[in-house]
Amino acid sequence: MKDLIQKLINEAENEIKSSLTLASLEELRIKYLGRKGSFTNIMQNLKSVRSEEKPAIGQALNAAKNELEQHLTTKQKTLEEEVLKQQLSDDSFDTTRPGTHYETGHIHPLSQVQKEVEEIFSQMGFAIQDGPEIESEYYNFEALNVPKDHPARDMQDTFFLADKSHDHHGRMVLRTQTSPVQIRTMEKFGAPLRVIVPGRVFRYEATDASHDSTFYQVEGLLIDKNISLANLKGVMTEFLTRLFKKETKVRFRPGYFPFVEPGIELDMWCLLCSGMGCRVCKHTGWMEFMGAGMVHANVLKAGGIDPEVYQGWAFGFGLTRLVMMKYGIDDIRLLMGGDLRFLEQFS
Amino acid sequence: MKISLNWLKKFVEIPENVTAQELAHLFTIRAAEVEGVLSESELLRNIVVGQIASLAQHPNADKLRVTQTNVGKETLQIVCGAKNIKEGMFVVVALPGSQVRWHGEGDLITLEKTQLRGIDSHGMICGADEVGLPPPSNPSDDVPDLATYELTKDYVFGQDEKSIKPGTPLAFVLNKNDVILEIDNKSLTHRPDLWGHYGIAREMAAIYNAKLKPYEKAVPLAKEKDIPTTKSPLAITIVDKEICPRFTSCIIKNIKVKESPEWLKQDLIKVGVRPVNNIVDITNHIMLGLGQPMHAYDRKMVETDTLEVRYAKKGEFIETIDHKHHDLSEEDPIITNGKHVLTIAGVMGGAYSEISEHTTEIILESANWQPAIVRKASQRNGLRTEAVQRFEKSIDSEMAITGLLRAIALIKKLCPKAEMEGGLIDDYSEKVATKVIIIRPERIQQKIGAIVTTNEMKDILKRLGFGVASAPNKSLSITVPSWRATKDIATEDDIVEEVARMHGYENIPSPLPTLPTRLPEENILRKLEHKSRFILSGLLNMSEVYNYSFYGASDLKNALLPEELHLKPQNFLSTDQTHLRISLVPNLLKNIHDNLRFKKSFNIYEIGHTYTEEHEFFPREDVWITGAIVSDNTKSNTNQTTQNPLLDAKGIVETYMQNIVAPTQDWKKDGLTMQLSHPHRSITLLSPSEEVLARTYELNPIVAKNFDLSGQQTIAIFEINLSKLSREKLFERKYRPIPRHPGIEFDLAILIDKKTASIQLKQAIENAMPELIQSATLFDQYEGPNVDPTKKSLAYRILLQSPDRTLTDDDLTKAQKAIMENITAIGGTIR
Repeated sequence: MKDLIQKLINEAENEIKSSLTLASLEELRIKYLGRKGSFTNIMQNLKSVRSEEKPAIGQALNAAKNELEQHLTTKQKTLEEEVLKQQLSDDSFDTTRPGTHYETGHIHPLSQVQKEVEEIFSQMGFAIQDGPEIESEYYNFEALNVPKDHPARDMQDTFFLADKSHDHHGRMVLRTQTSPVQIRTMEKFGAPLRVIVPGRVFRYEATDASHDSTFYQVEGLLIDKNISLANLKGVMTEFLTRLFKKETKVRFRPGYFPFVEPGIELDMWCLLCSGMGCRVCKHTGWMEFMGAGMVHANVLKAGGIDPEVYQGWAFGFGLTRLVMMKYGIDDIRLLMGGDLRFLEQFS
Repeated sequence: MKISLNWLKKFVEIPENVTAQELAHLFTIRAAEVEGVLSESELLRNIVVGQIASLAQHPNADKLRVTQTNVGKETLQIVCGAKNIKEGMFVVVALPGSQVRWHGEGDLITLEKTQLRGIDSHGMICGADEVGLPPPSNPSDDVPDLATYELTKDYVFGQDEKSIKPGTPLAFVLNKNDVILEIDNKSLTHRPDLWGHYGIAREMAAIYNAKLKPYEKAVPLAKEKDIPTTKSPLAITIVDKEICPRFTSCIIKNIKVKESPEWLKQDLIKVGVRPVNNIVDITNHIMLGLGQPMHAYDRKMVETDTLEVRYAKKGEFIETIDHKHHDLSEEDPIITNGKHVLTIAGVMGGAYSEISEHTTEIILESANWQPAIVRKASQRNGLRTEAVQRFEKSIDSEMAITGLLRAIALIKKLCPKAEMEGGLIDDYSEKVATKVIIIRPERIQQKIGAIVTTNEMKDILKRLGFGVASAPNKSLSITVPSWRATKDIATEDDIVEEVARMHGYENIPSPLPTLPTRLPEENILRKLEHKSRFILSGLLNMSEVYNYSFYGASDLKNALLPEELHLKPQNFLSTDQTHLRISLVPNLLKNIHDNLRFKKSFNIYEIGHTYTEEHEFFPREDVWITGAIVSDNTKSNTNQTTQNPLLDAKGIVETYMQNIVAPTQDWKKDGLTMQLSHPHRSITLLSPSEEVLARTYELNPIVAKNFDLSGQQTIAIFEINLSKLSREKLFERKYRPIPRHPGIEFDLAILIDKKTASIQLKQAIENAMPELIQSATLFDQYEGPNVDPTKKSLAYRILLQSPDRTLTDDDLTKAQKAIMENITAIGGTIR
């Protein structure tokens, strides 16, 4: 019996040694140690062994079984290590294949820049306000110190609505500027006031690569007891520096807008040459950015604010133009065109 | 507006070391924007005097000759076709690199060295019109002989020391040393005083602190002794006083109307005004110089010296000097002789009494007109003249008499025999009172935010022509000069501007305001817009578009939208922009149509306003998110997770509402939607307060057809009313404990009548044992072979779970039994 056991072990050890795969090793485990395996057979044959020999043979059998198991485990470890080694040495995978493509949507560039502008001003304590896109002549012009028949009305070609008129409000217009929201917020909140108003405006004006009948503006208004023109320079320098992520300077020159006095044009450093002068800025170093000025006393009064107590400034710049500058877009019509080949460039 | 630097220099001593570019820059940052600086000599660059040394016939062309032309430092071979050239003649030579106007027409072209019929030519001998010279005295000359020219400088052509030699720049010979500044008219909207050379000169003098010559010293005016003391035969009645603040006039006889002398013509041409004849040119010259528009009438054509200034009467008309007929309104200001309307006052004169070559006697008018009246008349009659541009800005009435005296002097200079008949007429009904403003230097300084001393303020204001005197409490009493008092300067704030710009905007520091920290008012709608974009574009693979707020009559018809809800612009730019949108859908459909050329399936949305007429003055404006799911029906494109675009759209709205945590009721079939939608494939989502928050529908196939979209695509639309949503109280998220006991999941396929809504089945399952059945989720739907054609097979995954115990087989059996009973009750069977 013992010989039989030894023979089986020898046979098994040889087979284990020459086994090359984990699968064939598993087959061996079943062959020798499985329910119908060789050792089970021997165990069943134990019945025919004399009882005094039983303990010794039983012991030998168990020892043999343990030995075999150990062999199997050792071999298994070796084989597993080999598999891992092989996996690690496999360099046939083409890592230059493209990554899996995930479709995502796209946010319109105007929305993206608008959000950025809103965030910067919010951090400086400005509230974001809205107003209607269809306005009355009163809010769009009169209250902003642009009376009827004022030459300044020529500066903004206006869409009027048919068959709408009102004693106080005049006709209905598609707002030509975000400035009427100045009056609306003054009426609503009074002074002090710190708001910006990004929004859609309309001009009755032929469309070409740089003009559209619909575009976006950002209005700004800061009213308090001791607000100066100098502060406007400070705030706009901060804003533009943050927006363009590089040092930016601004300059004022005289400008005329009836709702401010003094009225100024604000130029910013040319984005390309930072004030050095280049072709883009016609060698001036500056780019026109916006109109601004100290809010006219008549406008404050129209908004119910006492110009002897409060003062402040207002500005308005073209968000559309800013977007075009930022992304180098050369045709304004692309922004309102709905062409996905354009829109999908902005994520 | 174009301004000649040489003309300015007649009035002001601009420091000599200042270049035109520097001048333009300083004027831009102190007063008004100079858009362009154009140098005359720059235009004539590389154009020089040449002398023809020798001539030979061109070997290959009968009409051409080959010259050797001396241009100073060298002698060049130049081929020329002019018949009148001869040896020794002084000609204009354009060298390679110069810019000429070919035969005096078209754009400037840059000359290059070339070959003409095989012979090299190193430049061009120019015709008069090619370089802007007046035509030669002998009209048959092809090119001008410079020696015969009456030039603006008294030069002699020749070889001796003092004479002009070949190679001399033409600009030098012609005295073309002027620089033209182009000033942006818009930036002069509030500055009536800057609409002439004298006004600009006055501003320059203030900027440079330079000497300004009084107008009457710089240019001769008619003297008192030149004015007859006799009464003028003119009788002007100003019937409607408000039209005309001042009217000055006189009669001049023995006029000879002819071409103006060269200096006068050149002055006009340089600033872009076409010379007409001596009288008209004089009135224009005064308008451009002083800023006072004037008008001259042919006295004989007027027939009478008795004139009326009034509003036009019904039925009156005029043919203006541009030969256009205008029927006048009762708001148009006119001057009339009782029979004819002679001018639309302040706007344009009439053809009837215009100056002609036969004119020998004139009535001169130098007046001021009420700005708003002139402006309205100009708009009504579509006449935007130089005069209107000035009168509408409120010019200084004081100029009227100065202009008249200047015109008399000039006419006498150009027509020595001219004489006045009678004296001057001056009806000055509305003399503006001297304006005095009290200013507080401290407050001005506080508004500017820079240190500007009171002395500096005084200096600035004096330079600008203001009178300055001390007033109580450290304030100053400022007298506004007449040319600034008409409109521009009225309050202390107006003085802030004068002080700030002359102090120099570049000298103002840029401190941030010191304001208390205050949390800005929250804009819920705006936050929701940005969050919506994040959800739709960032999570749900949709792309945002922007569209116009308009569409056309055919669009709203095609979309089956009711016209009566629409507002219409009175003026529109094109026929597809005649109505203001009440829905974002039509323009989205057009986007879809355009994009289908490049893509088969895509999802787009827009966030924008709609404008609905509700018979209040202000229309209702709502902010909508409107989206479209465009799904390709051809199965070749199978890489789609989509089952059906309508369900995709429904899913998008559901995911959206979950993300913003909006409380909603269950979807309802939409009975009331617009015809835009498919009548049976349209659902709405209500808020707990029964407000319609969203709609989802398949596009009505008729609408799809109308928009040429009935091809391979199915289109579903969703619309979310952001205005309403922003007013809803949104849920606050609360934590739910994670189940501690495992649940049991099992699937059930049920056969049921096709028309039974799946939601009914879901409810039947979930209500069978609410305490254990957590959810029943539809995961498959089947109709077709092996299923009764009147039925459909719906497969649900059902989850049983209890919060406080582990479920047993018994629980499962009980639940299944209860579910079976409920299903059977509504006609379902297990498949």
